[in-house]
Amino acid sequence: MRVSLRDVEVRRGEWALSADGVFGEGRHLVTGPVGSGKSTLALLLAGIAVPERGVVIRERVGALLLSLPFPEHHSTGACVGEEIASWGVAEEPILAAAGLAGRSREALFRLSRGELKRLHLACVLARRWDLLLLDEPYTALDCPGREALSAQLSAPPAATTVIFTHARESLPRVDRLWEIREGRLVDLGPVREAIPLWSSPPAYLRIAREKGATPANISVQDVREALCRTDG
Amino acid sequence: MQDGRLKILSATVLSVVAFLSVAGAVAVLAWWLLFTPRHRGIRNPRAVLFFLAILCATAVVVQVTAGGGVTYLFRMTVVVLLAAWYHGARKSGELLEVAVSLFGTRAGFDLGLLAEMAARSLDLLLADLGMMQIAWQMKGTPRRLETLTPALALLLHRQLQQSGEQASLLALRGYTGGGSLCPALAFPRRDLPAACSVLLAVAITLAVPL
Repeated sequence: MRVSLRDVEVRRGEWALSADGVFGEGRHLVTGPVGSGKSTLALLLAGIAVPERGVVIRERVGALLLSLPFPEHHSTGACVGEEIASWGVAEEPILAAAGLAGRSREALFRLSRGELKRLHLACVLARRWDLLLLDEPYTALDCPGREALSAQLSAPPAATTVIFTHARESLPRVDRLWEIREGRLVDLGPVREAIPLWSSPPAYLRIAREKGATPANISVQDVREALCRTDG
Repeated sequence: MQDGRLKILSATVLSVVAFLSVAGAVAVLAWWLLFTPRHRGIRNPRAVLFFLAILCATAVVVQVTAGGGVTYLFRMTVVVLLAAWYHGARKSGELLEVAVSLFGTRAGFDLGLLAEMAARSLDLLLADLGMMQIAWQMKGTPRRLETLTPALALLLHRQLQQSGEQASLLALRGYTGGGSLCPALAFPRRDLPAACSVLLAVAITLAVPL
């Protein structure tokens, strides 16, 4: 299960994105500022966007899932229960995971965007996947929601998961870091070696680095543990 | 065509000309072929195909019930092509500038702002529809009426929410009506042949009674 980008380039007028690299089994985090090309890259990996140059090769990818930033785009049910059924997953665990217990008959448009996002993510993460592409999964979530999602994404999957985000407040444990810099996808490498090379880390990680801590991963928990070790 | 005023004027006049007669539609089609980037200028070919499919169905009904369906289809196809060109050629803020330059900073500003917001909503709607198609493809959702209806209702609800947010934003910024804007519109010489050809299309329509 892996996706390879070979000499890929996408152009839209003056704007361009070039990418080379292999997304193998494990969790990958792709960061970059708004408008840098994260969503375009997600569409490329999903095979929805076609590059002007180069090729995208997916190997042993049977079940492909792409989660778009706005949960409304995925919705096809009139109410919460119908929406869960449309994903082909069991209702009760999803309602519990999304914090919507007892609201199965509620109309989807009565939910806030945060609730709709929680419902969408719970449905996506309940499915089986070979390649999961999460485009801005933290959008519309509150702090507890972000932390819960990070904890869930930190569990090691037997598949390829790529998270595209500009969020900085809470991040999951990942295996490899990538960054989009000036229109180019840069593979920073395995997470431990990649942390010092990361040009735009979250504030908590930057502070830890300044204090000489060497966290094993990028989650708040890992950084807290590293700081405790440094402080002695 | 660069001048925003000429663009909107040409689109309006040529649409009427194309609808009025077959001769006018032929003249407008020639104008579209000569002075626009043709199919390359169409920003959303799927939307154009969708409208053409509806036109075909309507033309069949017109042909069966009253006759003249073929000419109706031809004239309306030209109008749709013209609309697709204008949609692709329109620049953000252009409608506001044109309206202010034509009708002043009170009525013109309000009219332009309304037009800009409507155009932006249309762009957002088209982008949303594109994203929904991708999402459904990923989800493996069949495109049936029972899945389309709640999805479109949710989309409509989102549009209404966005309109409400936009209205609140305008109110917060103190908007009560009118506004100040200095339109920066120019008439480049290279727009002259296209502009003159619009007059030619009008003349052809008036001269050839078809």
